[in-house]
Amino acid sequence: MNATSIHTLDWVVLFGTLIFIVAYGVWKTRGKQDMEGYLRGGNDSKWWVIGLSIMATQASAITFLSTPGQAFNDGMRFVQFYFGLPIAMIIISIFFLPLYYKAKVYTAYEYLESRFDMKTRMLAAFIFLIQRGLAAGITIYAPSIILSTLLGWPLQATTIVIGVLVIIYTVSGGTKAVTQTQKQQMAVMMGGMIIAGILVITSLPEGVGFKDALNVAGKMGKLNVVNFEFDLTDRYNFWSGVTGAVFLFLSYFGTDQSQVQRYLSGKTLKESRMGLMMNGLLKVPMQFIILFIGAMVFVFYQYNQPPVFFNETVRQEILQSEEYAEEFRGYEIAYEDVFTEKRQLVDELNSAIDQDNETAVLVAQKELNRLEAEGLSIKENAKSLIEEADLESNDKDYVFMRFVMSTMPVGIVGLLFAVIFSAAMSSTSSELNALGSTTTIDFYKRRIKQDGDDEHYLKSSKMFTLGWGVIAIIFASTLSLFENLIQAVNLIGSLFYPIVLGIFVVAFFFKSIRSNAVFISAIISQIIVILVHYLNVQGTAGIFTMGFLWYNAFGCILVVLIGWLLNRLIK
Amino acid sequence: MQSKEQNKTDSQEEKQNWTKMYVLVMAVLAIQIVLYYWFTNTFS
Repeated sequence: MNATSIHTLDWVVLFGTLIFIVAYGVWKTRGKQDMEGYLRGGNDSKWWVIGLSIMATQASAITFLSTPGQAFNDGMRFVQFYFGLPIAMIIISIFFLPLYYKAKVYTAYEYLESRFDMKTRMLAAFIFLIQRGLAAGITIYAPSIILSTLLGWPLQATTIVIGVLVIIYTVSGGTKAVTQTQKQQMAVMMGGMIIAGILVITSLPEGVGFKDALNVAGKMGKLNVVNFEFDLTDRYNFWSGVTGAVFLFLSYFGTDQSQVQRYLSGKTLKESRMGLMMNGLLKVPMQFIILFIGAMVFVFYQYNQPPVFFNETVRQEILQSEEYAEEFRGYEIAYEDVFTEKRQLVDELNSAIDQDNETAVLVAQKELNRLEAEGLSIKENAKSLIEEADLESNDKDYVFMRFVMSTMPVGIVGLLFAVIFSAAMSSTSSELNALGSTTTIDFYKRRIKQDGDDEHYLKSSKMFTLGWGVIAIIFASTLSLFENLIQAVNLIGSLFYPIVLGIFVVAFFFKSIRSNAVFISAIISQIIVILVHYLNVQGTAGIFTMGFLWYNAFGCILVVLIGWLLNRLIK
Repeated sequence: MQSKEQNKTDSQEEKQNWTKMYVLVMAVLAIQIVLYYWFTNTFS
């Protein structure tokens, strides 16, 4: 599996798709523009376009690279995280959206000035710029590192290709170009994944039916979709999905400008609401399908020898190393032996199920899971060796594309690479678009130059969008020097999002709380959330021990409570 | 006066339609969760 195994037709499909999307975005938005059109897409988007745009913004390349790998390793339980999404869509549709429409805002943070004051608006906008600015770099960097390995391109070249393609149409056409291209990108993503789903199932060996595949995946713990057990330490279960995740989705969809800008482009309030409902209806099944593909890839590798490590480039590197090659080869042989034993047991399991022999099913299942654990332990040893050799030990994100490259027909491989690139471009374009808008509206127009005309602000928006694009590319290009930054940026999101959500919750639901109270409360709450996180890292948080997901609820409730108390104290 | 009454009726009707929409979205979610639960138990 390397770049040479990619057929010319795949390159044609990949580049044909990408160039078509970029050209379409530029062509659709040619001609005279104004600020209204550039920042709000001329307010003429239909509900289904808004729905697709919201979904395309959230679906990053990592969604398609990591999620099948997640099901491959951990089963399908991750889908429960999305149960809170439809609930959040309804809350935003009822409470957030009408207020944004009534205030006729370009950015979500503008609303905060009319409700509180300028400093509260600036605080929320500033947090957004820092958070989203860093995230834009990650959105380009994370898939680049995987795609560069798979395609055999230098990392920086991949980063630049994604970044420049996005900049071309986002800077030239603004919100309208983002929305228009996201239609095509979503079509590529959905079409590609449906084809991949069908091909995964048809790639199973002859005589292995769909039901057999479900039995193997289920008995080996990969179809663990729903778990109703209440456990605060378990990140993905029904309860964390319908509580903690709701706060996270409220923060992201309700207060993050990269999403707010999507539904503010609606023709009417009704169209915007319908777009949100579309997301609420389709997102959970979409995640289910992507995870299900991962579970089926797992079944495929119960009948076909899987590699002990899915990143082929790293595998080749370690096999060429004098120091580590022999030990690594040892792990490969041990892993092959485990597979041979498992392969036989899988057949025994299926025939026991066919014969309704429960005892034999339980015996085969127990033995299979023991061998699976043995295989995992060998994999972990191989990974530790790779880490010791100072090579990239990420394996999960390569599972799906390795499967694609080794089994899918010519043309489809190119299409699935186009899916990953489209996903990277769709989320990055929304981010750059929102960063440019917020910088122009909340800072430049509000604080620096208040007397400019429409054309001046249009040009400024384009310059700021371009500037953020360049920053994102530079950031993505230097990220390899600071591997831990990915974790750091995810952490920054979890630490700051809840405070912004808290400010908006006070704005919408606690009319008596005034600006100074909410501003001071936001700062105090921010310090507390950071402190609680520090104590959690140290393992001394006591009753405040919680996972990242719960910071959203905790921080938001803190802002409201402290704001309410301060409001009573401050005259 | 009549137009005001009409507007009130329209907005009342719109509210009811949106309530139905929200119930539908929640019902679809609930049905999915039940199906996923069945799926988990059937094949595990």
